[in-house]
Amino acid sequence: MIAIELYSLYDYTDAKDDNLIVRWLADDRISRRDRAKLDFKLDALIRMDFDLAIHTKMLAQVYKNVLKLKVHGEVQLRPMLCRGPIDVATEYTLLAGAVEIGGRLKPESVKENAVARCGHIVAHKGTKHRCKHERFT
Amino acid sequence: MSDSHESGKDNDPPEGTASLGGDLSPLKRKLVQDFQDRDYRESYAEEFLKTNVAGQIAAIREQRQWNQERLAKEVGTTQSAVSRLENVNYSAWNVKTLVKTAFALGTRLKISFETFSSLIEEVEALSRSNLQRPSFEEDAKILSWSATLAPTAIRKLEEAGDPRKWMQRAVAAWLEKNDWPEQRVTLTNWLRGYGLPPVGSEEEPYAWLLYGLPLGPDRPLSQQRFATLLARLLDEQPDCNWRFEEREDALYNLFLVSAGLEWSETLAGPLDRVLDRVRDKPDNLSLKARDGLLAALIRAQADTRHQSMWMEMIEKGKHGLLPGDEYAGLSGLKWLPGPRPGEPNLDAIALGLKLMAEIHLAKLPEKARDEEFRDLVEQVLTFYGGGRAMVEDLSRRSRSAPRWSRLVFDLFIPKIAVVESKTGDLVRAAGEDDDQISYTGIRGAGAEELARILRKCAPKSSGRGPRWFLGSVMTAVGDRGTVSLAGG
Repeated sequence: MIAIELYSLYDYTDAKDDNLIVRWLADDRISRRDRAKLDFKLDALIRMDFDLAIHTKMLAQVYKNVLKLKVHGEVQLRPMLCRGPIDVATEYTLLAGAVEIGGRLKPESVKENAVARCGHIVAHKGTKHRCKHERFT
Repeated sequence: MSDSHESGKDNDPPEGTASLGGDLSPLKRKLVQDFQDRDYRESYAEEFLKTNVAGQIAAIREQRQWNQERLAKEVGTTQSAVSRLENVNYSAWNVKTLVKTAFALGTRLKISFETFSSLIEEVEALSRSNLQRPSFEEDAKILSWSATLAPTAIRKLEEAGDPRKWMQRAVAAWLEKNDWPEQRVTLTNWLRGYGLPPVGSEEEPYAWLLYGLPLGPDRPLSQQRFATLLARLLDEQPDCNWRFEEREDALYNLFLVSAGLEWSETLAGPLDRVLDRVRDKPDNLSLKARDGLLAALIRAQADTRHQSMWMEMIEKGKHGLLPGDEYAGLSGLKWLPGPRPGEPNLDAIALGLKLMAEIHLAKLPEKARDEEFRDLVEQVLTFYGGGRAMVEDLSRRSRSAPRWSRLVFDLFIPKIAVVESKTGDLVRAAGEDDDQISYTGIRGAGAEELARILRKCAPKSSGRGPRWFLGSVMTAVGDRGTVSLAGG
């Protein structure tokens, strides 16, 4: 069987090049079990085609071009991401961390933040505000 | 605290892994490390299981081109239940439902206890195509094993008697079915070379399918139904979607069956759309498949849209996409629809002949040049059953052609016309009615006898004229010789 990664995965970084996704994952409230679930979802995401990820509800559209990755665990992790934004056919970028409590995303401003961050990456044509995805250990 | 997912260079493999696994991929190295934690590996495995179940059901259902309602109907459940099964976050399945779902998809459910190392390999190989599974009917291994079961083959042969009649029964039953998904599976298997008569494996699948059309009065209706189903398959874009091993052979057979059916009104559109797709992605079709497509485009022309393509082949001796030379171009013009059904497009043919003379034949020595041109004109006449009038017509339309070629026309005008049969099995299979091609009594008969039968039968033939009919007769009796006919 051939192993192929269809997509490259990036993390959003701030102006100081700090990886905000890793910072979110470093939160003590996220258990090892939930991190494993998230890691698997990301491993699967870059190997499955986008249509299948949508059909199987791994991804759901949240707001404009922002998607949420649904991880059901002890805490309902909902990292926000987008396709591309530089090349939508070959990239995903994790934009912000979030959790879902009672059907509501926390932090509440996460959708708007994600859209803005996506805009930052586009404005810099991908040269700033993102780095290759780092797996939190 | 963190590690690059892509490179994994910062982490040394755990002791011993290099000797066990050689060069490990970054993901493998990472998971080997993370799996040291029991909570992590069990949680990761649980998530994989959910994604694998949901992803497989969705991927296989879409492979069958079913919607969720269709799968629900096959399983005996509701669309919302299928939607739940296809959700990667759902895990409250019961085995009974999964077994029913597997059977509905033409697969089986396998539950087994596995190692964590196999999990790492399965995650690395995760993709839609690795989630998909063929149904029992499409399972290439089952099909090839079935074909090697000699006792079955012999029994089928005994039951079948004449393999052509066996094929005719199979095609008739297939045409009668009103279930496209099932018809698609059968047709695709035939085109791949499976499920054909158990003898005569030297025949190409396309020839078997054309043999499968009934002779006699039922033939046109069967051709029409067959063409409609072929058109449906062509519009499902097999040139883009087929992934199986025999893809190129199956496409080649699909195009040649389309060519052999000669049902241009139904097939021209879908074939044109294949050509459009090849223009967008030339690498989608191998040379062999494009060769088949060329044959189909030549035979299935509903209008004159490809005239410029045939002209390009004649002028350049090649084509940018299709493996067609000047002779293919001239064939395209011969099949180009004329002003009325069944009539040649003499303007286009005359222009094609003129270009052949000017561009290609003028380079040859005089004798070879004249003979070659005469052959070309003969082929046109044989094709349309044209006589002296057609020669005169072509000559008149070729006034601007080189003088030597017009002299060749003049040499034709004497009342002797030579008929050569160069028709192949395709023409024979797609050709005339049963009673017209069964005059096997003329085998070995002389030209006079042949001419007598021809004169007697020609009025009943297909409208293309006596020489066309003769071509079919001669092919049917295996006579590849040359016959002179007095009077024409």
